[in-house]
Amino acid sequence: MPGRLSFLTSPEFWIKVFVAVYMIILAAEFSPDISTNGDDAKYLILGKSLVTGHGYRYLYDPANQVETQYPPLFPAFLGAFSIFDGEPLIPKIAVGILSGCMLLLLFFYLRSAFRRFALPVTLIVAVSSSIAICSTLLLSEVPYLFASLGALMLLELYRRRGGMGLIFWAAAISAVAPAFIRTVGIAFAAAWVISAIIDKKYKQAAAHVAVFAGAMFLLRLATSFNSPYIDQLFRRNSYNPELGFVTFPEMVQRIGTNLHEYLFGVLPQALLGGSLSGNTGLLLSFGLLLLALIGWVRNFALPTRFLSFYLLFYCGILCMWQSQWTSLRFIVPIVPFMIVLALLGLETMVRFAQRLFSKTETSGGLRTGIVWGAAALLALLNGCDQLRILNTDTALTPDWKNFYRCADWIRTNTPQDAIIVSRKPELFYLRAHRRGFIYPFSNNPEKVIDGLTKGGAQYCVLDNFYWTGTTMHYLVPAVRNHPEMFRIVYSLTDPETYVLEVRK
Amino acid sequence: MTGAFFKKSFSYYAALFALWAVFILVRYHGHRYEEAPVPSAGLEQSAPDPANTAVPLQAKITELRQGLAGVATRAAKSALLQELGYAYANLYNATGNVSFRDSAVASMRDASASNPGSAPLHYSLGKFYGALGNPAGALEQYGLAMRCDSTYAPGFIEAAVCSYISFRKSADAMRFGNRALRIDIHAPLCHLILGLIALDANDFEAGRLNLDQEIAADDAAMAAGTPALDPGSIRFAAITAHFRLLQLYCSKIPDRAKAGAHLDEYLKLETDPSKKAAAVEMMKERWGG
Repeated sequence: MPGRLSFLTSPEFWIKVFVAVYMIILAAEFSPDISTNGDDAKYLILGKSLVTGHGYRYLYDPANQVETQYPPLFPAFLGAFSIFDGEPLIPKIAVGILSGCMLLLLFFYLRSAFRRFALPVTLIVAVSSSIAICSTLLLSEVPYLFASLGALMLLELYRRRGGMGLIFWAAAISAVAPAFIRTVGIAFAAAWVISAIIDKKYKQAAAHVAVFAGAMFLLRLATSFNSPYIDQLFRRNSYNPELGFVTFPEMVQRIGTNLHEYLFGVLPQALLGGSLSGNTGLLLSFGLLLLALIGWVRNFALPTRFLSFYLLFYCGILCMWQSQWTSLRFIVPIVPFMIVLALLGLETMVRFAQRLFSKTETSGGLRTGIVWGAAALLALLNGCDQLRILNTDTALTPDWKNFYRCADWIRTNTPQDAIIVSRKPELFYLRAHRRGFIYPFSNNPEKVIDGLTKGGAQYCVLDNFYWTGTTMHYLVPAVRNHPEMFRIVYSLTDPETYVLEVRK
Repeated sequence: MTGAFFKKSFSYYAALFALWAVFILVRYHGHRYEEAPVPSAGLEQSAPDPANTAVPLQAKITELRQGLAGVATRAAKSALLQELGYAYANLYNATGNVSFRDSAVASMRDASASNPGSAPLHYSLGKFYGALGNPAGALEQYGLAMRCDSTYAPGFIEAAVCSYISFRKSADAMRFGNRALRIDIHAPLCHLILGLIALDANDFEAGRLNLDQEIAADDAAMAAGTPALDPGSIRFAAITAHFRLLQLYCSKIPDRAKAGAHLDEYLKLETDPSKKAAAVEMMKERWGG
């Protein structure tokens, strides 16, 4: 390369380009508002509660219960950026910048652990549509990935330097962070301990167990020792609690269903983007997953075996989770690692083929070329998907528009302390500034009415959501059984949506 | 190595992230979440849950179809077919699949054919056609409802609305509206149509009178809790009546106090911020302040 163009061979130059491209994509896809997902609204509200001194509670909940489901690190992060302004804009900017830092961390980590894959994987992640989607929302997946990479970076540093100094404890403490951002981070913690034991680094394993147990005990002491996740894991259907809990054969069936969903739907989209559909997409996706499987097995024999254990535990938890919650979001924190393992698998296969067909020493240049070719293909497919997303009309559907219009009406026409029952009380709170709760999911209308009365409901929103039928299934029969308790005070059509006043 | 790399490039990344944040801040400066007309959608919508409308609706359709086989009376069959029609319509709303819309229309037609003398069935089919953007089909069904039962007010009311709004046939609309009022003096929407027709003819006093009566009828219907007509239509009537009276009191029959009162009521009901702003502007322009 001539002297003036020598920068083109520098990884430092290319990582600058990739991060810049990534930030441009985020800017193009950025939305200043809260999505209809609901989780991001909950995180934001919990953060506000923390910084305003109300503890770890949902500000919208009239019962004022302590939150026990979501770990507190991400809400605390959002809360820190909500101090000066109640709007979601500043926290969203903070998440965007954090995701840019995540990309940098990914590069640094891969440069230490998988040097030859550092640039190709960073390129794919920079244009990955699934990562960008989560980075433009107030969701914990990308911060979780950031924390995971931070811990892995420190692990690599510790591996090189050894000892029981600052790096040792920093690694032990940072390895706990993922579990305090997303509960599935227990997979990270478990893999950390097991890989340390296999590497005969018993002090590292013991330190991690001690830090993890201490931190978890303190958190549970401050909140509650009851975790709803165990209940959710074994329930047949959280949207119909009266169905009870799964049996062993049902759990096996659920794992099969989830595997099918992830293999045929979620993973192809997460790895290739949504632009390549049909059999070609599936074939390519299966090829990629097969390579990832080969890479995963091979990686058990490498010093980076932590990743193989981690993916095993993480995917195991995902497969046991209730099938209706199968989501692209859950795969995002492991997308970069799956790509790394797929490239490792590809490299293994090329090396194997070279040894099989060539008697002489194998060429590293060919392997590098093939790895870069595969990376370019994946980046191209994801790039096409980004273009598709940018050209997609993301307007709200009429059911959501009506829901928000009801919130606007409630904000301007009801007392400040009115309590509202709705399907999405967290979103309703941010828009209407009124506290509220969700109606009980019970097939017994009397139980639903009892729930409304005990909760002190003053208004109910009869939504007409297309994505869920719970209001029609649980709330509407209760209203029909007790028409004398309700009065229509506001209504919209297309689709029909009502605000009912609860008569005392 | 990483430390050196980071030190060398720190200023670049700091500048890049700062520039990005400034760009976003400038682009969305002044944007307030609760004041946006409706929040612009994030890229991720709520994921469907197992009580997703499509799944139970399909199960319900299967159940209704099985139920049809064992039905003995024509009235029961008609009721089941009507329910089937609504289930298909909801499925169409949930999925956007036009074949469900066609099935919905076919089921409603079958329901009418099974019970040909039922005015409510023709009325429902008319509303159905109206919602699907077929006002001619809707008016035809309202006509059949009127013929089946000459005391069935909703058929006359919707015929009046459809004649005026969709076809601008004022004479027909007046005839249907007056007939509905003879059946039910408190019938909503009729006075609105009569009032709008009067305003079209520059009869401001008759227009005012009718619109006032419309508001009273709407208030009564909404307070009853279970209005006979679609509450959305009643709300539409109340919004329109308040707005037209606001216009009237700002121009043809000047009265600041009454204009202010109707503006207040209009602002409570209207959700479109641009329309709200236009109404406030009209008031300011006419009366200042």
